Amino acid sequence: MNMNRETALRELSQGSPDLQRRAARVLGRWADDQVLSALIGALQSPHRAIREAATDTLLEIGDARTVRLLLPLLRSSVPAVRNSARLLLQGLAKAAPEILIDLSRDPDVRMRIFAANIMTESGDHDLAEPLLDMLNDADENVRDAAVVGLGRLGAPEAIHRLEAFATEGGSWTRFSAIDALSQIPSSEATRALVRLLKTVPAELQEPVVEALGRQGAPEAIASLLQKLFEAPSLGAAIIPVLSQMPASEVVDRLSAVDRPYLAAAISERLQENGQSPEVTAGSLELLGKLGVQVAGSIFIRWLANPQRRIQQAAIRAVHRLGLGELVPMLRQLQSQGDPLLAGEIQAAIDGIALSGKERA
Amino acid sequence: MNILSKVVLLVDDSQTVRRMIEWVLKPSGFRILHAADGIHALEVLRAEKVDLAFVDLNMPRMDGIELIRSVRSDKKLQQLPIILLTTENRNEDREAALQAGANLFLTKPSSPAMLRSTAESILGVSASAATEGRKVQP
Repeated sequence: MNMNRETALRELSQGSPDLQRRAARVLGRWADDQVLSALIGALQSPHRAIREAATDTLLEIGDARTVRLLLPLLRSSVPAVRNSARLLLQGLAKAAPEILIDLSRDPDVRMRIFAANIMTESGDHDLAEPLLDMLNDADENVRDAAVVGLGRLGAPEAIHRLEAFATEGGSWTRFSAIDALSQIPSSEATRALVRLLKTVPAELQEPVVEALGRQGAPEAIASLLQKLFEAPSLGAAIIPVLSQMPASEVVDRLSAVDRPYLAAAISERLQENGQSPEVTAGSLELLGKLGVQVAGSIFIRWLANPQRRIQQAAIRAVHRLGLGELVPMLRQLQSQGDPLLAGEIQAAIDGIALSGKERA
Repeated sequence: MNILSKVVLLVDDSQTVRRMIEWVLKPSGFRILHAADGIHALEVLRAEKVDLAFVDLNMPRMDGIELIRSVRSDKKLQQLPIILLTTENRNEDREAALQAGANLFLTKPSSPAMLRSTAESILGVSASAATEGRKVQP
């Protein structure tokens, strides 16, 4: 569409919603102060399409002047306007970080929360330092927003502060600190979570276990196993996490004495409903690798499961455990002719026959 | 209705906040669904039977007020109980939320016990019923 600067400015203020939207995009060719002000004004339009067009153009212009002009919109009484400004500032944070740092010291708590949210979503690790400063804020919601941000930025320099936050203060911030630690890809963060597993009160132990699960670091396995033995009620949280770890890593960390205990805990979970396919398949793999004899009946429903990954894991477990009583069911599965299962079924039948465990 | 069939939708652009509320509600045994903004929430609401929604105010694409207005103007969804949960504590936000049709306006950080008891109260279940509900989970 051909619009000159003046026409576009006029259409943006007076045109139909569709013309306003198109004018907002066209104005990206000029980035003078009048155009910027007009686009900022369009962010307050009741029409989402116009706000989005103005947002896209302002992001393309993206300089410190835009950031400065956007800040007053964060104080708007209209949530949609505040959110448009916040989204834009997230995209422009790198253009003027000093303005955001000023905002993090604003007397208005809401502005400080916005500052933390914008720094968080900017994805710019250079903003971890001002977020660390915000951990000293007098307001709990500001501290909480900074905690969340440090996790999202994966800031390893925050680990010790986050660990401290997880052990003191209100429930929101403690939970946020645990969640933040789970997002920092470092073994020091894993070690912090492992320490927390021993020190947090009972109601926060499950979130710590789940945080360790999200990290997926094998170095947490020994502590998770120890916690499972100490507090069997946490099995519903710990077993799914262990089932997503490399099974051989879990088995290697268990003494022969402890293997039957874990096998029993996994078997119990496999008899319940509500686990995801990933967790079910992982649990079956782990159960097979443990090599502890369990009742063959546990596997019947999983061999018949419609999800192939679960069936495959069940077949491998039956094979490893040499469960001869399930060979007839394996043969029945074989007769269904699924080419993707055929090899594993045959290997299981042959393996069990070789071990002499097939039921006559 | 069995408590286990009660469904709660958590609408917040912060995954941490959604996880936090899910953790708070876990003892009640509700089925929990997540949405990251108002538009995503409407998609979920049109696809699933939801009994209660916790909604944040400031979200990208569609904020909490706009979501509540959309729900209240939709004949199939308009009876949905909605709790607006936000860090914004200005009276004008509270009034806008209630005027748009929010059933309750709560500010963060709300105590976990209060959030849970509020959800149970709105859904007509007691904590003991919730515990019983969990016990019968197959």
